[in-house]
Amino acid sequence: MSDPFTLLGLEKKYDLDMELLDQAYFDAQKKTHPDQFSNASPEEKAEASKRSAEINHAYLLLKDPLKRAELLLKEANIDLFSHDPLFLEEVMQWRAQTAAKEDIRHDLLTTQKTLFNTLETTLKKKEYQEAERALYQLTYVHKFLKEIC
Amino acid sequence: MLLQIKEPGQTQDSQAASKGVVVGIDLGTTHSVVAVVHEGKPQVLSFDGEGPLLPSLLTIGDDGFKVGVDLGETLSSTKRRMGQGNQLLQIGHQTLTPVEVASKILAHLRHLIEKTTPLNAAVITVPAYFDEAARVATKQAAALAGIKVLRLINEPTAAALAYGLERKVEGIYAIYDFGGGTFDLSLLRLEKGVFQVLATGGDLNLGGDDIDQALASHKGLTLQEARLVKEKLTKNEEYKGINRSELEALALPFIEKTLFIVQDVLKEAEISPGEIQGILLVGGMTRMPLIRKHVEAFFKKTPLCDLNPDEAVAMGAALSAYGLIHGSDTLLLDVTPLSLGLETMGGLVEKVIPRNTPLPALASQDFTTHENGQGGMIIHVLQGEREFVSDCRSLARFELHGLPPLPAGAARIRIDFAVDVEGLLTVTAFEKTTGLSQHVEVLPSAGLDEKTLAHMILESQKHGKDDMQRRIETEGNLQKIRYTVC
Ligand SMILES: Nc1ncnc2c1ncn2[C@@H]1O[C@H](COP(=O)(O)OP(=O)(O)OP(=O)(O)O)[C@@H](O)[C@H]1O
Ligand SMILES: [Mg+2]
Repeated sequence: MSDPFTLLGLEKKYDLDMELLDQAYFDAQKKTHPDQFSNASPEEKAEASKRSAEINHAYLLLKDPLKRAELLLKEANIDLFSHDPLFLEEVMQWRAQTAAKEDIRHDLLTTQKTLFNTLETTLKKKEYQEAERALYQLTYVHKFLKEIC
Repeated sequence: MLLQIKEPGQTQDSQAASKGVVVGIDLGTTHSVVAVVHEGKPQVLSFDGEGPLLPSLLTIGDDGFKVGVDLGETLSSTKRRMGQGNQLLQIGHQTLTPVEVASKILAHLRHLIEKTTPLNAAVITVPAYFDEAARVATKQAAALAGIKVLRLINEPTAAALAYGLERKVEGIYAIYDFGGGTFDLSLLRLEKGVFQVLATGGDLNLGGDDIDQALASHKGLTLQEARLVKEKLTKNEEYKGINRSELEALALPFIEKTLFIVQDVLKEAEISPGEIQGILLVGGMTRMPLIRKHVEAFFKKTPLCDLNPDEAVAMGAALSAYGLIHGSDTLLLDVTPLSLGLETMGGLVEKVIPRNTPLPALASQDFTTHENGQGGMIIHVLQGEREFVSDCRSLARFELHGLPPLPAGAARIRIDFAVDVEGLLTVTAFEKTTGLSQHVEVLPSAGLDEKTLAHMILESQKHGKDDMQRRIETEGNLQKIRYTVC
């Protein structure tokens, strides 16, 4: 299976235009969705179903800002194995604050925004180590925000 | 390569159309409705004074079963029990499964349609929140009734199709479908040529029936009386000595339940109420003034009222059926309403395909063995949002045999999930360490062919209750397993 960008005919970059992504996705599905093959042979239908599922999968990966970054890092052969004890201490701190009923949502949202900016600029400049670090931290922020919102 | 043989949308319609009419069927808990596309427009069908709303009732009289009327002993609201396995419903001296009741209703619809034209095929609607087993059961019922199903589609999606194609609107729409038995909420993005479901949620046990029940027990009425009072109180402030406010107090908890679901779906889709372009009300219950009031307050927007809440679903199904046969410029992109997963250590469920994933979907998960020389492995497929196996719906359980004798952790077993556009799942497992690979499939929909079903029905008529019980067990095990060693 070709990579998601290629599959949807999109340029390999982080700051994808979401409208463009949707359009590319719709165009691809118009050609492959099984409903367009309801009078076709079972083999054609099965093939369409498989391709349509791959397009759905590609769309989900590209739409997700974390997964999209991951794709680009993998493409650049960067291992996603960052480990940052200092940052983990920070995460523990959030846990403690939340447990003490402190509302840290605003702070976390600000952190998230900064990290997304870092991710975007570093990926653009091909500073992959930095990008990977930002992605690592974002994963935690994202997960934590989901838990408390 | 295969895909280039025919232009999508270009289909052999002359051949297909010659075999009869294609229809859309809204197989409702309370009412069923049939629609067709006539001269490009969807329209609901009436049959000699019957319909367009045909009561989903099965009754028994001296000359056998009858659908749509009440001769004293009746089965109603059996849609809620679709796909719930070994349930028997008693009517007269007979016992029927929910699938058989549905098939009798469908057979009656087919009979009504065929009084004028042969029926070629149908699109049948199901609640968006129907699980896999209920979807399979619906297809079985159609097969028993001798109806070829082009496709199942989700009720709110069908309603959106009916509205969107007619009005040519764009934007994000919420479809609030409160019927007799079920509640569904779907968010759709409508665009030129595309209907994209963003998220869906619901409750299969939340409908007008529950409000009837509450009123009946509060006022000492029968369910039929309660329903009539409830419906009358939509236009009147008072009926038979019961005030609207009394009904409203009883209905409120159910309405609040729907709004929690709405909230949940919006959150899941990361959409705020303000981003919703329009709210479509579907289902007879949405006539109730209190429901309109609460929906309006929630979205801070007046729901659209130029849609017939009883007929929109069937009309959308008719449009879909027509499009599937004759080709269409409109693409329907729907999602899976419930997560699908596998049992892992400690009775936990690992999600393989999360809810609201666009369909069709493919996903795989790798597993390994935990003991040296382990020769087999249990694969337990589940549906639901909860973490524990015991809180999810078990879809299939099978054993993978003949694994090669390897040290613990060395075997590589890949399990593939494939969900088709109707929401039906196929699971395949491969052992890929050695050259020998084993292939196990769970075939939910293809489990029983029409012939087997016809045979089953015949058998059940010939034999008594024991047989019935046995058959139901088989029905429950429908998700047949096929082993092929390749
Ligand atoms: N005027 C009305 N006022 C209040 N409730 C009404 C009115 N008309 C119908 N209903 C209620 O609407 C419900 C039936 O709605 P509908 O026919 O849309 O359901 P259905 O499609 O058969 O069910 P489902 O979609 O859940 O399978 C019943 O509970 C009925 O009492
Ligand atoms: Mg309905």
